[in-house]
Amino acid sequence: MKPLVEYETCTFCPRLCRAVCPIAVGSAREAATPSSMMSGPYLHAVGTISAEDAADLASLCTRCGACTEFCHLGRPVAPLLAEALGALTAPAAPAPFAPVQGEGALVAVICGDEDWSGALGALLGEPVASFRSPDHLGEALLDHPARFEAHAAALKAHFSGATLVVSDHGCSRVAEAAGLTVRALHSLVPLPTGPVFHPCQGPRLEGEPVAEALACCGAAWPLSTRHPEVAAEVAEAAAARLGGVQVCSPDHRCAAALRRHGASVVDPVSALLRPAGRGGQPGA
Amino acid sequence: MVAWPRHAEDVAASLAWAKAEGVVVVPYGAGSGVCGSAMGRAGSLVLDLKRLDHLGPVDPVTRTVRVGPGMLGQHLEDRLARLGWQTGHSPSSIGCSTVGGWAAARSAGQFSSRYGVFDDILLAAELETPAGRLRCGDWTAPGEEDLLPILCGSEGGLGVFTDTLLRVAPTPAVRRLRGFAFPSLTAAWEAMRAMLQAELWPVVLRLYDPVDTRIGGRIHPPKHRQEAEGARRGRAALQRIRDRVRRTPALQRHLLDLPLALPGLLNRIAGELGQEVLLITGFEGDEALVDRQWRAAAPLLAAARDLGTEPGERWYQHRHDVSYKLAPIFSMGSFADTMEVACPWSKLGALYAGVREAIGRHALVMAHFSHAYPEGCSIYFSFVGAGRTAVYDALWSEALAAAAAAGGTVTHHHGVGPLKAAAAAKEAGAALRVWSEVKRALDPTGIMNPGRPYPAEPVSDEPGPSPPVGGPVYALSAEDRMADVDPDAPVEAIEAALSAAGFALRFRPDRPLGAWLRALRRSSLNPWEAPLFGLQARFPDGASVRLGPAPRSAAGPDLRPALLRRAKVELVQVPLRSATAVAVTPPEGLDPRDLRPAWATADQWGFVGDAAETLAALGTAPAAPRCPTRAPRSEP
Repeated sequence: MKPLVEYETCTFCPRLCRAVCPIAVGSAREAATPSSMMSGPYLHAVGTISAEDAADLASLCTRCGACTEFCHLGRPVAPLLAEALGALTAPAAPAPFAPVQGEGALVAVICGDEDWSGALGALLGEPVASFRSPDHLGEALLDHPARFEAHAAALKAHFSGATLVVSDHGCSRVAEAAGLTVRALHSLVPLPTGPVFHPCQGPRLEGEPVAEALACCGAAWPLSTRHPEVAAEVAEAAAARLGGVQVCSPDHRCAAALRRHGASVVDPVSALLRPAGRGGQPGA
Repeated sequence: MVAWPRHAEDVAASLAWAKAEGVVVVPYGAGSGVCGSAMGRAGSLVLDLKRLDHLGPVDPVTRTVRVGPGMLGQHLEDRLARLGWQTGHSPSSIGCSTVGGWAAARSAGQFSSRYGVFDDILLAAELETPAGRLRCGDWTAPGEEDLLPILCGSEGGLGVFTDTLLRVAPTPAVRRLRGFAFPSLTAAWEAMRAMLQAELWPVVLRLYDPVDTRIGGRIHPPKHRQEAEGARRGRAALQRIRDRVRRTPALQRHLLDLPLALPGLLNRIAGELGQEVLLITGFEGDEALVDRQWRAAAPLLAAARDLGTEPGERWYQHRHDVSYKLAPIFSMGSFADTMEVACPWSKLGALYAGVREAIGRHALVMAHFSHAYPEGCSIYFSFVGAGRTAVYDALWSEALAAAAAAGGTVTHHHGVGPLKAAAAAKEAGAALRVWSEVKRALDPTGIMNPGRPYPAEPVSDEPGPSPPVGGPVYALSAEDRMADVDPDAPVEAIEAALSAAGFALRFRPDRPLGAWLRALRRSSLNPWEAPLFGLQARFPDGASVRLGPAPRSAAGPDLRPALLRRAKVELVQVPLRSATAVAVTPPEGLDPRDLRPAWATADQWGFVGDAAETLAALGTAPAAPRCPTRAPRSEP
């Protein structure tokens, strides 16, 4: 963890960044503002709270980086929280690597229940292999640089020569950090023209274009893993703000979280498996 | 316990439960209040209202929008801006405060000289109270008393805001700010007063006292006075020392602690730095109007050195940064705080000197003058001291007493909370009777944020003022553009007396002033129009109270409308204007809400004050001025 001074400035700040934090806005919780999250490592360092409580606060961050962009003091809030979380928690063992199924230069990384590798192969006219990874290629290890090094080497060995196709931001971050060759599924699958949804925040003014009504899905790690109730609040609030209007998301995990709360979202996986006009409403 | 209601019904259910269980309820917005009114307490139910953040369509005709009280200020402004609108309400806390909090604490923004304080922007509200749902302001049911003035500023002590109706204004086409260096504070606030009483409605008037001007490095000397080579070398050496200190936290702590332990000496040194002060001002709106306003303002700013646009632009770009500079001070164990007071122009010098002296006994103090209005101005003191609780408490106690002694209000826009509850109660005096009456009606079991904004059992043993004698005009202050008048006297008699002194009533009521004020609906006036300053009232048992005239006080709710209905009002203090006026036919394509003439009828707009001729030149033809009477109610 960084020295105390890195966290205390944020702890004493005027908290104006809360308005740009999708978790603070979506959950409306005081503990979920960037400065409250930063107070976790600070209070632990001065002996006020336990490492577990501090990690609880630090893990409310989805690493979107909006607070860092906003901060008038230039504090790198998200990276500091990531580093603190790594220092406050023991690294979880990554899920054992499943074998790659099928053949092909492209390997679809399947994190959810639906295997979309066949549909992608049909779309591209070439074979696409698949790899099941419920822990999003071990994204929890990103906060543990020492442990991640070995994990990255293992990933490289496992996928030697292949190009991974990923459907969410978590997998994408891991693949890039490990130096793997990676393609985002949304770059291969045409999405319906329309507003793209991405981690952000804010209520929508009546009459305002949906494109402006961006709201965080709350699905990203570590929030969704350590604080599922907060993640659900964030997704519920986001779905409510979208008000039944169909939107697009490049991220399958985000889209799934929003759909659980009634939002109508098209994402690359749903577009691939349930294209418009062939099996009902896209993304339904 | 914390609850996050999504709908008014959730709030009602929470209050019903709390009432049945005898649980204290603390409404909570985003927690930016610096006086502590939204602090939860052991065993209380905190209602976090941030999920009540609905936003309706903007009505471009009435220039209004419905907003949920949980809406964060920055989100509201961002969303409105996309459709070409703004509220004009821009407190420093805009990123971490909510609409409901603004209402509960009677907030004011940095552009209040033009757009008014939040009382002026809030037209209607719906609340849940332990006694049931309440609609007020423009939503008041026919025949019922409008309780909005006493609810706005009630700091959760009466109920919970669940919906609001706010004024909006068009996003300005241009905003042009400039800096001016004045030779003294007095010269600068005379210029501020002149601009406001000329009814130019600048968007910003922000004057830094000599210490704030110097410490902030806000004025650079003109080129011909810039330092010689020796001075440049000295400055470079000083910079090297500063850099060294920045890299050494232990040294930094000592360098801060030592001088802060000697605040008197520190303030004396700071006082010797020079008397030149910086004023930032400017206008926003349609380009042609802004040009015209600047032309009209130029002679009023003639005593100053024009510093150009840079100081104004720099302030606008960095207007929230100062808060962040406090973090290192806290982390070094010292305290830094702010205190905002306000008074009419005629008392400004005494208020500044009195409070500055009181704070200066304990801490390094500087101030700026902002939130200025035709009738007066607020002073915002910033202070830094060595971190001992006793010093901090003594500072606050003495500073609040000094503000009251100088005739100022103890809070302009930070609200009351436990920090200022006793001082606010003292300021309200016997008027607290009306607060207690409304509190008993809306919160009979006392579960709503007890002790906010006034102590739970407020007692006033101060003798009230004697009945005024003379009349119909008891006193007139040309400097403050206000007069103490008999509220029951015929308007014609008041006008005749004022005319002899070269003044007229700013608003010509269509009935005696007391009756007009009792019937007044806020939306009948524009947000920049203040119809009443102080008043004096007497209860049937002989107890009396004098409220005000501090402009736009936030020392608890506005008790004046409730007093007008519940006590014999002996005197009202109302705004004046120059008796001379210029009128023109209405200029085509302009909305009077943007140009702001003193009056606007279908056939003429009237202008008053020193800028009247310049502003009236926008009209197409001269007309004989005929200031109309104003009804207390118009359709919202």
